[in-house]
Formats: sequence, C-alpha cells, structure tokens
Amino acid sequence: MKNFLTIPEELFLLAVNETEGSIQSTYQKPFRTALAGAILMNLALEHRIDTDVEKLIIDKKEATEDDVLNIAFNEIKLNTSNDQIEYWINKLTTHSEQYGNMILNSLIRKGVLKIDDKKVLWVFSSRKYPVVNNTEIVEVKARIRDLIFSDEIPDVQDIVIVSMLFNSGMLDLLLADSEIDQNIDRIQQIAKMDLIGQSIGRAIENSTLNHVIAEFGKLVSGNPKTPEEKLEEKVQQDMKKYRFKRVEDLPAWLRKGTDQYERTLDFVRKTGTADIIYSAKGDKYMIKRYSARGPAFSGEV
Amino acid sequence: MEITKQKQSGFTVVNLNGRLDTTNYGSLDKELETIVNAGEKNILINCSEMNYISSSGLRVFLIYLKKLKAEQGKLILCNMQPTIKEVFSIAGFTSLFSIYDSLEEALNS
Repeated sequence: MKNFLTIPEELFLLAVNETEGSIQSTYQKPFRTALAGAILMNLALEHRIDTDVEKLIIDKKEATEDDVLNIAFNEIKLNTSNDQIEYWINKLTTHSEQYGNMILNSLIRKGVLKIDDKKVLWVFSSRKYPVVNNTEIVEVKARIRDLIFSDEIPDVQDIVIVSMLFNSGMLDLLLADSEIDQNIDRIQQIAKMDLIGQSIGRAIENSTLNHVIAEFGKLVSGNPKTPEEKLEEKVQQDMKKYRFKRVEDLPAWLRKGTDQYERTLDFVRKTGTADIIYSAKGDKYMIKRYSARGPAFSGEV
Repeated sequence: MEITKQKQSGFTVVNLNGRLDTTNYGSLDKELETIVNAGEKNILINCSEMNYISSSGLRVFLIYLKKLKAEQGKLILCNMQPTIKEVFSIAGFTSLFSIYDSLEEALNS
C-alpha cells in the first residue's frame, strides 16, 4: 500500500510546532540537506534510484506520483555524469526552498496543514501553518519513538527517517535530550542502515557551516569561549543532569585526564561546539543538535 | 545474478552468484517470497559467489529477516566475500544478521 505522505512531507511535519503552527529549523542548512536526502531516499524506496556505498545509480526511469520527487529525479536523469551520492545531496540542497514551498502546498492540499495569516504590529504579516489534522504527525512520531525504544528490526521507511534526523542533527524534533543520550547506540545502529543517510551526515560535516558559525561567534562575541571552556561547561551540565557526585562517575569521554577526553576536546575544537554526544558502540562523536530553533518557514503558497 | 536453491539440514539454502543490484533485486525478492509462502521458515543465503551488493539488495535481506523473525524463523548468511562483508559492516547489518564464515558452520548453527 502506498503511503499517504512522502518522506520529505513526513520530515516537514516533524518540524511543525503543533501548538504554534510554526515550522522550525527550515532555514538552516542541516534541514535543507536533510530535505535533499529525504527526496533521494524516497526515490530509492520507489526504485527510481539505487545506491551503494558511494554511488547513485538510476533504476526505473518512469516518473513517480509526486511532483517534488519528479523534479529532482528529472535533474538526476539529465546529469548522469555525476554519480556521487554526496554530490546529489549538495545539488538538491540548493533547490530546497523551491521543494519546501511545494511540500507545504502538498500538505495543505492533502488537508494536513492550513494557512493562517495574522497581522502583527499593523505591518508585518506572520504566516502560520496550523495543523488541521495531527493524526499523521502523531503517527510518525509515535512510530519512530517506539522503534528507538525497542530492539525491533526496523522497517525500511523508518530507518530512512531515523537516519535522516540523526545524520542531520535534528533528533531533538522527536526526542528529549536525555532520551537521545540514553538511546544513542540504538539510534546510531538504525541510522547506519541507510547509505544515503550516511551521506547526509558526511555532506553536513563537510560543509563549512559549523566553521562559519564558530568564526562568526568569535567576531560578535567580545569574549569567546575556548574549546576547553565549552567542554568544561558541558561536563558541569552533565554532572548536574545525571546527578553525578564525583568526577570519576563521568564516562571516560568527559573525564579529564583520559586519552578519550583529549579526543573529545579535539572534536570540540574541530566543530566549534560542545553540544555533542559520543557513541561508545560505534566509537563515534556526533553533534547532537544543529537545529537551534529557527524562524518559521517563509515560503509562499 | 544467478539464483539456485536446495534443501539442506532443515534450511532452504539460497545460493547467489554475481551482482545483487537494481537490475535483479526483484528476482531475489520473488524467490524468497516463494520460499516463505511455501511455509519455509529457515533460510540460509550462501553468498560465496556474490561479488557486489547495492542498497536495494540490502533492503531485500532486511525485509525477509523481519518477516521470518515475526514467524519465529530465521534468515542467516554465510561465505561472504570481504568486500560484501565490508558493505554489511558499513551499513551496520553485521549486528542484525547472523553471518557465518562457511556453509557447514551456518548449517550447524
């Protein structure tokens, strides 16, 4: 049976603040990159493309039933000389505003969202997208949470969503901070299962966004924090959050004096943030949250 | 890709020869569906002659692992070439599947 919503639409819905009707994070590069990845993942599930560890291969050439998927697919079909997954994620990311507008239109047409224009301070119009029927949002969120909190073998569609959110640093759209900490190994296990998802992570890591943000932070702040200070602040927060009484109770990656701590510090230096998490099982550091809440989506419908 | 099968020690052994990719994942899907619909619950995939696998191939394995587990059956794999094992490892599938070095080891599992 065909799903009512496409994967890009499900991603968009996860970014909807149900109470305010605003759409969060959509300005940010990680969301836009995830959207591009979601389109590729949907094309893969509809057997229009296939992938291996690096490459993207065209499968069936027929159009899909979705306009967003078709626009992206047509571009891929016309440019077969580039077969790297990461290239296509970056390429489609440049059209993300157009895709975003089309997805909003589609969600409104499907009766999931509606438009609500409100005048603020006589002049500025604040566009909101209240949820008409939140069944879809509740269903997606519940399904993914259940999967993460269990040891079930995941469905392909759910792997794709977890992989997309994890690799774009947007798990906070779905899970509380402590839930991410407690389930990071399971999340990473599921997220790894999609090769396109892994490319989203690489595309974001390779983009200079974090470096630019870090540099900008130094410019606007008279007294920027050093990586050591940022990490110390995180250590103190985690000690408080998990009620550790002694420094020895901290995991090695946050315990000063260990080799692992030095690796953690290197990661903070490289990324410019200490909002990070470490998966012991995968021996991997990750940025926990790229998606500081942004302004509502500005698209026109 | 060439797909053959035989019954052995309580398993339906499916032998894969060649590339498992976008051009033939459907054939494997059909073959496994036929086996499952016939009531077979223990499938052993012999990968000794499989030399390439794409995402669509990985997905077929995952779908049938889930199906068989739900029916208290199992899907196990053996004889993987190093390049295939590496793909399984990159995709984290090595933690989901039981993978054996030889057919004999898998049959005795």
